[in-house]
Amino acid sequence: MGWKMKFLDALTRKLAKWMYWTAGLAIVLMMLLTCADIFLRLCVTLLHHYGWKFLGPLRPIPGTYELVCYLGAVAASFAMAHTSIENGHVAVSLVVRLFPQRVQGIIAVFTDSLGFYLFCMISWRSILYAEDLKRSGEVSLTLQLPYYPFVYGVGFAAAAVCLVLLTDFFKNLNKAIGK
Amino acid sequence: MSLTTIAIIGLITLVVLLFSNMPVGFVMGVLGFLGFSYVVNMHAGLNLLARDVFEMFSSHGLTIIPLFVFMGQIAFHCGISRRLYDSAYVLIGNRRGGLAMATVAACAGFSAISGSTNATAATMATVTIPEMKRYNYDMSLATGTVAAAGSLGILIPPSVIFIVYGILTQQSIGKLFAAGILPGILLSILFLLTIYLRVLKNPDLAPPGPKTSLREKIRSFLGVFETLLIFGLVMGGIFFGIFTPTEAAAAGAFLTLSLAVVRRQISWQGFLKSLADTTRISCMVMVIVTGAVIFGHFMAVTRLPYNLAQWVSTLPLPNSAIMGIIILVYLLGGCFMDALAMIMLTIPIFYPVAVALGFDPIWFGVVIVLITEMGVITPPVGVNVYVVYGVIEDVPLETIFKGVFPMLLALLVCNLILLIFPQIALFLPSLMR
Repeated sequence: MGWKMKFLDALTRKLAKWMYWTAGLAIVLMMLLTCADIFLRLCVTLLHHYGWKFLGPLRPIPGTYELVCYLGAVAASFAMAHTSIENGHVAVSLVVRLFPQRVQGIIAVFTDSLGFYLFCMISWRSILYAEDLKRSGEVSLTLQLPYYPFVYGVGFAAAAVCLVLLTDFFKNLNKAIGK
Repeated sequence: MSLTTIAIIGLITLVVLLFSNMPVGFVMGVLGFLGFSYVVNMHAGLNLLARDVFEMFSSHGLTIIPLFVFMGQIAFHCGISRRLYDSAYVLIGNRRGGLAMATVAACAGFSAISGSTNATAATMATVTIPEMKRYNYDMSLATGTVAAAGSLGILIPPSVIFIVYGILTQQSIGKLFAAGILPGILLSILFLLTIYLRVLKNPDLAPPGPKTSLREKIRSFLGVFETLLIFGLVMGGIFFGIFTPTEAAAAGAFLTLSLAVVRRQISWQGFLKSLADTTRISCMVMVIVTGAVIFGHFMAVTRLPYNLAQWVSTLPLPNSAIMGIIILVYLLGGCFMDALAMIMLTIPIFYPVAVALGFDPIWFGVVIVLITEMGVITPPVGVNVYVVYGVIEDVPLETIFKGVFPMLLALLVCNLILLIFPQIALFLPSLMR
């Protein structure tokens, strides 16, 4: 592997790992936010039932539903690159394993190219979709939060998967040509 | 080219690509996108891709997955599995086959807080097999029991498969969870019965474990307490309409984490490992579901599922025979494919057929989960068998598969009972608001 490839590989791994922990943080926030909302809803119920006035200032968090959806988008999309590096996606390797290394390399080059094409399209169209949403000023119902930054986020995350698949492509190409 | 021909070409390409080691979600995504673009037009296909991906990733229904997976991972890292097994061990371990029976009971208990078969099998194999080895259990019985009972993870709620089935078919996740409880208990009893009969025929397979006092038996209930508390909060909350499934998942994860922190049963490293595994597993599930949705849109524009459903409903065959064929397809497919991937691939095609034939969608969900449970323990791709093999290492694969065989019969019997008495699955959902 040349130094350019090594640099690209190291850069991709670092970026993917950073995004992975951001995704993990989004999951923890989803849990805490939902639990806080349940707790505050319970407080309001207690206030109505028993008239406990000290609970008066407490209200459920407005827009929890929307925030959880946005955090879900961050959790799923930002974890994609690292999950690909870790081979965490479900794949059926039963047949491919029967072939010699070189044929395995050729098949992997083909499947990496297809995956690269898919994620390039997702990235490109997500960015265009985000620009559309930005122009039209579309916002969420309760918090009036704009959607577009999260759609940009998905586009960025898909671009990171492209990087992972590109480095895999070169590694498998070497395997295919017997290097 | 007719739309049906395009759909069939799409399906054949899908099968070919699936065996190329390309991630299942990517295969479904790329073929769905290309097929949709071919049938409608490229511009519509590109728009569909961006919208489907964002809509699925930000779907409120799907946020339940990382939260339930997190709950299971925390439970795994804080040793709940060990305490469950210890309780079952003290209660029934002194009988012949008791340790294997305790394994089934502990797997059923752990399934009540974990939604994955692999996690349940891996956790329980680590805890139970060394103990059964110590008491000279036949390794085929020991490993086969863990591999098979681990499959309860997707039947007893919470279950990742029920969640994605509910999202794809627009069925209530709460009702699906409730529908899995009685069949889960029934299957656990059938597993216990299988062990009992095997040991009755050949007592050397499983010698009795150590005797325990009544005091120890009473104290052992403490080990089940936290599981009951978490399961009660989650399922009780959903069942009585206090929580939405997402809220129940968040509350369950928070309670599991809080109990682990208060009892000092989880380290910072354990927490980070739980979070990292949760992120990876959730992402894997979300990518498959999103791929299935894109592929489902391609299938929908070709109208293949609807035409197939219509054609099947006019066949001069009884509905039960058609259901039998569907079950056979799942059974064979499950031998070669991951349970989740298999369900994602087939739902867009078989679900409309099942509904057109008048089968209850909730019941159908339970049946296909039961069948895919067989898939996780049948060769050549019995994932749970490989998981147990990976954990134990010194037991040959053939031995584990041999031990799994009698349990497969229990699964078949459970399926037959459910086909004859669908009420077993539908009773609890019928009580829900």
